[in-house]
Amino acid sequence: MELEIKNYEFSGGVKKTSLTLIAVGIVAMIASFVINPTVGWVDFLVNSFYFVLVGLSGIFFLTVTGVMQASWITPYKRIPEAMTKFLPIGFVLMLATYFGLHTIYEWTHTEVVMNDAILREKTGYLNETFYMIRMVAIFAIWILIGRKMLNFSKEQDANPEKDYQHGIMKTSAIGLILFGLTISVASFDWVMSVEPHWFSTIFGVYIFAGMFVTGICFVTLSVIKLREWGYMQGIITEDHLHDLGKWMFGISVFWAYIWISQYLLIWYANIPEETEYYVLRHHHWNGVFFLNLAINFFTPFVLLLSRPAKRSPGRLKLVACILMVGHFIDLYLMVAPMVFEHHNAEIVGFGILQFLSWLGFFGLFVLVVGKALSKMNLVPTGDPNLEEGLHLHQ
Amino acid sequence: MKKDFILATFEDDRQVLAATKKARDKNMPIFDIYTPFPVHGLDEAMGIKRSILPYVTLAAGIMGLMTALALQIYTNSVAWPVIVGGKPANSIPAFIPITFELTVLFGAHTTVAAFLMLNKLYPGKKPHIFDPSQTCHSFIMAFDKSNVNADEVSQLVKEHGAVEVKEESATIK
Repeated sequence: MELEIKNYEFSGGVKKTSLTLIAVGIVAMIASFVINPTVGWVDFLVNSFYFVLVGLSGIFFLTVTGVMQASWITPYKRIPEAMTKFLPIGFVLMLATYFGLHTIYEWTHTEVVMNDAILREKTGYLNETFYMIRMVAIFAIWILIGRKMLNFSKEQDANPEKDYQHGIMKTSAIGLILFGLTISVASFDWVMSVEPHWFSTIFGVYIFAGMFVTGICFVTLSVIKLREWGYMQGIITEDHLHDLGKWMFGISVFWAYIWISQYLLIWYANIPEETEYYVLRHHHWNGVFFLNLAINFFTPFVLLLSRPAKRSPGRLKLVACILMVGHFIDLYLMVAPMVFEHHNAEIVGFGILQFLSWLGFFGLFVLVVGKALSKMNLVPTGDPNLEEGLHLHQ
Repeated sequence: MKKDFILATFEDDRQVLAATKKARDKNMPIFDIYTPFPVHGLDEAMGIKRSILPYVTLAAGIMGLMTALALQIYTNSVAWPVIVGGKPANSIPAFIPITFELTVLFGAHTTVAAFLMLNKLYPGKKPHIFDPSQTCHSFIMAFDKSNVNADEVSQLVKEHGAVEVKEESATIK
């Protein structure tokens, strides 16, 4: 089959919009820091980690479809590939949180740790040096896997006759194992250790579920937008959208399942050292707590339940936007309550500044991904799974 | 009741798909098409309406959800209130696993039953087979002879590569 492929050009409106969003985000970030540095650092950490996760989801999609030799994603696999290009920038952002460690993490305060029997026992793991070493190692692994997968894909486009599939499978298999380990360590380190007394073994899975949803939402948004702008005509059909809709629906339910798995056990067992996490959220954050469930579970469940909804670009765009904001709220709810409790801080004006700074990071993400996408062939013409992926039937 | 059918045999799924589209364009009602494997796009080409099965599943799922909630709320707070684990009588989080299970149970069983009913299937049913090759390598398009013009049909299917056109009468429930 002859394909006419127009490569993506990153220019004009999208570029301007993303630059404007970045400007808005910078202003919001500065305002947040000026009003209260504690809130500023929380905003910065949550936003950085959120978009690191969206970039990381690219690695997950590439490796999991690489090891399975799945073809459903092949026609638009350049989008997750471009998403992984955000990881180096995410690395810089996360390194910058070093200057906020004392604000965010209680375990960095020596006098607190020395007077606390539980935290004293944990210093072997929770100390600043080892923390930063782990951060560097984690990002090194992610960036390396991303680059390797990207190189395979690029070389495959250059010489389609050569066999790269075995190399891709091998890298993907090793990459997936490393991914599973690193995302657990990352979520324990960067989010769970905000409350150093508290622990939940399922926490890494919970972060992973949120990552999966936001990643699929960003891919869906990109695919639909590219189609609207006249790219990938005749390549992306309603069946591809249906696939993405099913993912959004299914993984939102998976997220809710992991949410209840964490909540139910802690609620049922009622052990004080575990319940403190939810007690804090029920007390001052009760509205946000239930808003989180309403946005991230009930909304996609109702809006995407029927088949025509999963095939309608308008509906998918709407739900993807709602879910992306919803999972920002979810991540914010994991970090903020404990930090704010310690510093007696509060959000001003229903989180408008937080939303604006999220928009700024979103603009940065779009800028990086758009630039990366414009440097590649929009469709991986050398991929042997492409033909099957184009003739997708559900 | 016995009916007369015109049967066109194809040996390629793409040919039968093209012939179906053409027949629909020319307003020739197709009785049914027998294929050894599911042919992608054939349902749309034949203009078959989507099944009501998903709605049956949804209704049954909602029934299961309400049954589970009613059962638990009634037994826990009306019939015999017992405090378990220091939780209040109506603790919704504790009900979620059972509610989920009953939703799935009702939904799944009703779906299977409704599927069998909608397809008129039951244990021991003997399906009507025009030709054993329809279960192996050939695609048989059946037209109800009373609805179509036999000459037009045979001309159309032959244009699309039918290897055989014949007439047969059969009783199909």
